Amino acid sequence: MVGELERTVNAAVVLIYMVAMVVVGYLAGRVTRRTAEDYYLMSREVRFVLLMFTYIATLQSMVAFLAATASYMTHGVAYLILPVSQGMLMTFLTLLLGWRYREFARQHGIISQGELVYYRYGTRLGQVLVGLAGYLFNLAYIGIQVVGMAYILWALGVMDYYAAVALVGGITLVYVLMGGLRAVVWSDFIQGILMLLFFLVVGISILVPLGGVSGVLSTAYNYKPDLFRLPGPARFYTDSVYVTTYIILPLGIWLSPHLFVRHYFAKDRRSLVGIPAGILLSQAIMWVFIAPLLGSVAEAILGPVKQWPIARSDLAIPYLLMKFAPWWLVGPVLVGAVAAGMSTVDSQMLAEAQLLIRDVIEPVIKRRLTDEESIRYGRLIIAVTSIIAFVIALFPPPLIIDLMVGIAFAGFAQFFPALVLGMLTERINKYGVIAGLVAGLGTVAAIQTYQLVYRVGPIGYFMGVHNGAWGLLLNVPLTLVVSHLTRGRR
Amino acid sequence: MFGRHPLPRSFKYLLTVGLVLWFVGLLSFPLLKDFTLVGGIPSTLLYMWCLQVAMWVVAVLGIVVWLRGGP
Repeated sequence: MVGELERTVNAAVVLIYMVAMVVVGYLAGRVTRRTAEDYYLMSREVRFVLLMFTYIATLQSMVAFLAATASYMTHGVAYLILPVSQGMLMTFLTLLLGWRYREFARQHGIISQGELVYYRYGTRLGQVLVGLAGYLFNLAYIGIQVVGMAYILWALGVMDYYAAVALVGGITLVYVLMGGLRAVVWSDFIQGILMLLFFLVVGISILVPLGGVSGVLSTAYNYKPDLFRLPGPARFYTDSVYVTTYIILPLGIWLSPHLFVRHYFAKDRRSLVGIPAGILLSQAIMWVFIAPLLGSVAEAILGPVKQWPIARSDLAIPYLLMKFAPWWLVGPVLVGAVAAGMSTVDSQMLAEAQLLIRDVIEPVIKRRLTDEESIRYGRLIIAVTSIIAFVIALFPPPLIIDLMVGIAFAGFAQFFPALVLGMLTERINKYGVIAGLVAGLGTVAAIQTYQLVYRVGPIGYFMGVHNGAWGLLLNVPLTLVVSHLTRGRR
Repeated sequence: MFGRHPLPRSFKYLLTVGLVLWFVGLLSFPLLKDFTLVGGIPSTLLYMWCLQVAMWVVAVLGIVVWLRGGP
């Protein structure tokens, strides 16, 4: 399927890109000052354009680049609730609260997500809960991204799966260790541009030969009309799944630690607008038009997934490319896909160190680490976390990965009362927040464990309702009621 | 944390419109259960595209107003 020449050229393109990322990390490391604030937050001086691209690159992962098309193929028009539920809501949340987070973080020297809980409510327990939950949910995601990147390189014959895991994971680890956030932001800038550019190229080079929008749609609705109505071809999007996914996803994504801390390092209020600008721009290019069109037509063109050379729906884009685009385009597109994954993983690695250092280790040892200790231990945490994630990637246990992905956004969404409601009103106090967090995170964990033990699916949903919604159903009322009952107590 | 952050009145209007649109999206599932063709495009897809574009317009206006008169 892939000739020797094509394989060599594709591998060379990917390797050149990897070397470029290491160079970025090295150059960033040379100018990084030895303070925790500089290593983790680039001295809070990130301007509009850099902030926009680092947010784009971090938000849009391998999922957006490859799996979005696969998801539209499986769920059809229902999957449009992802962009529809997120873009505008996340924009207004950032405009309303992002500025407050930024000011508050500067005022108290806050670096991590849990610290915001401590300085707002004065509870170390709440801080540790947020830090630990954030760390554990993020860990699985790092593994997933590495699996995705390695899989695509292996499936298209560029290199062996294990070599791909080592290369992709190793390179990301190296440049994060060297340059901290400065390396992450500058590599994200390059990766964000590559990702958006190559996704546009992919879309155009496949959709044009298929007769444009009208040609694609007529092929698609003649082939499988269920693509254009609920509950979709997989019959997954029932009313309750639609409604609860619509509510949980934007909250879970916006509150993910690696995205949340981006509010802290905007240089000024104009720079902060880079966040909503990045959300809207990347959605427009990746989620709303190109991916649904490619997803709706993929099986009509390529045949049912089980007949593909490798029966994985997330290989739809590469297979469509091989059919309609010149062979030399596959290499750059691979770079776009790998860039999408690496640019998310690098931020997650850094966020993991921030969460453990500031929200778990410091509260436990009851002292603030020096800058030097903070960077040294942070690098150690990044390395250890990466090794765990790479082991997950080397021996991917599907059930556990599905489990973790299923609960990740459900878990992050449980921060909503503490980090959103509590920032809008003084009526919420630490007792309410702790009660809500314990109930919300506990509910999500309990349902997920039950599903795992008794093999009750689908992962992430229980009785047709998103697990995050079950958690919030207890979390929000409990936060409000307990805060009301304990008002006036310190 | 809870200092006054006065928001322009026009931003509050846009926020209200945005929230209404968001809830419209939330409650749109009955409209997505079947489709007809509108100019060769399935009505469900067209509806979601229009809703998304309307949300983008409100979001972009929100950004502009916030930049000109926000906190």
